[in-house]
Amino acid sequence: MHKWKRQVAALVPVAVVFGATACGSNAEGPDVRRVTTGFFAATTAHQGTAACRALAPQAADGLASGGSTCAKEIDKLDLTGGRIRSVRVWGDRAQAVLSGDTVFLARFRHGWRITAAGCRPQGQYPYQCEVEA
Amino acid sequence: MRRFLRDNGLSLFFLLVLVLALVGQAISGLLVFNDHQLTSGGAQVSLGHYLLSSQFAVDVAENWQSEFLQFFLYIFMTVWLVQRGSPESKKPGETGEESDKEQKTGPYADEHSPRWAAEDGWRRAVFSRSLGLAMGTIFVLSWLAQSIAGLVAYNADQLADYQDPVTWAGYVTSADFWNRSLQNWQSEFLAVAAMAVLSIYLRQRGSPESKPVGTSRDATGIEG
Repeated sequence: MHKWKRQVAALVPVAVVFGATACGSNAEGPDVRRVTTGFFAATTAHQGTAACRALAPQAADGLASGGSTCAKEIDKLDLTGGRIRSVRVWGDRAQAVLSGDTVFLARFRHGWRITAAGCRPQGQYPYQCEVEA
Repeated sequence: MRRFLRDNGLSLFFLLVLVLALVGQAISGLLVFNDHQLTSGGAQVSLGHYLLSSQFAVDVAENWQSEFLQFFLYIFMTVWLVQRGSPESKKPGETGEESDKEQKTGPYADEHSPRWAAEDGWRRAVFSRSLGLAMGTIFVLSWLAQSIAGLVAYNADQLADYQDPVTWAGYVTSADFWNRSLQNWQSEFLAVAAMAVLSIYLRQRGSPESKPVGTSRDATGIEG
């Protein structure tokens, strides 16, 4: 093989790696959607235990306080979500914007989990969320 | 083998310490990353996962791009600028790309000269500037890599902090990108300036980066 062709070929895996990181792993989008949809299906149906299973451990622990449980507290929040408008994945983090809510997720060994829900934009400041890790 | 080690000791040494430094950076970077993951409700990751992450990639790329920028500027500026008394500089009055005879190109190339030094046209022109071109190209590519990996790492941090992600255009005009770039550049430029000036007054016996110990301060472009 000509020398310059070998050099170009050597750049291909580099380009693939950088392309994958730049695109923010769009392959993860369906999993994020599935977890988000499942979470709001549970909250809408007042299935607190199922909803809490979709939460990151610290988010679930944050709800369970003062002798109450995560399932009881999440039912009180009346999170409905709505239609998913967009999903953005960057590294091990994701954001799903719905018609009635915004959620943030993190990837764990056993899949995506919600780290924050019931989030409202605050301009240049971080979202204010009813459920936070 | 012994001859290979002896003839290439300088590059082998620096490749070895490069690998050791990268290993150390990977381990310390993993600890910092996992600590942040704990405080932001995320999952801790393995070393293998971290090595493939954008966080590790941007931390490497931001340093590499500044090193190659340093060498690109150093190689290019020493053609045109002088530092009287420094072994890093040409003598005053000798600035510029010099004649074909001085550079042993074209008809002045001999049997030991690289082939393209004797060629006419674009081959000689490119080879004559190939060192600067290589450094400049690697700088551009590694800076681009920093921007891409940095975008992913920055947006992951944005989402961990419950903030919206940004576009690539937004990232390369952001404080994070320029802070990473400029903090590296300032140290590179300081190192070159320090070397150019300190080598006027100080010596390192036996090093080609130094003037011979007994050489005067005014002597320029002389190596030990």
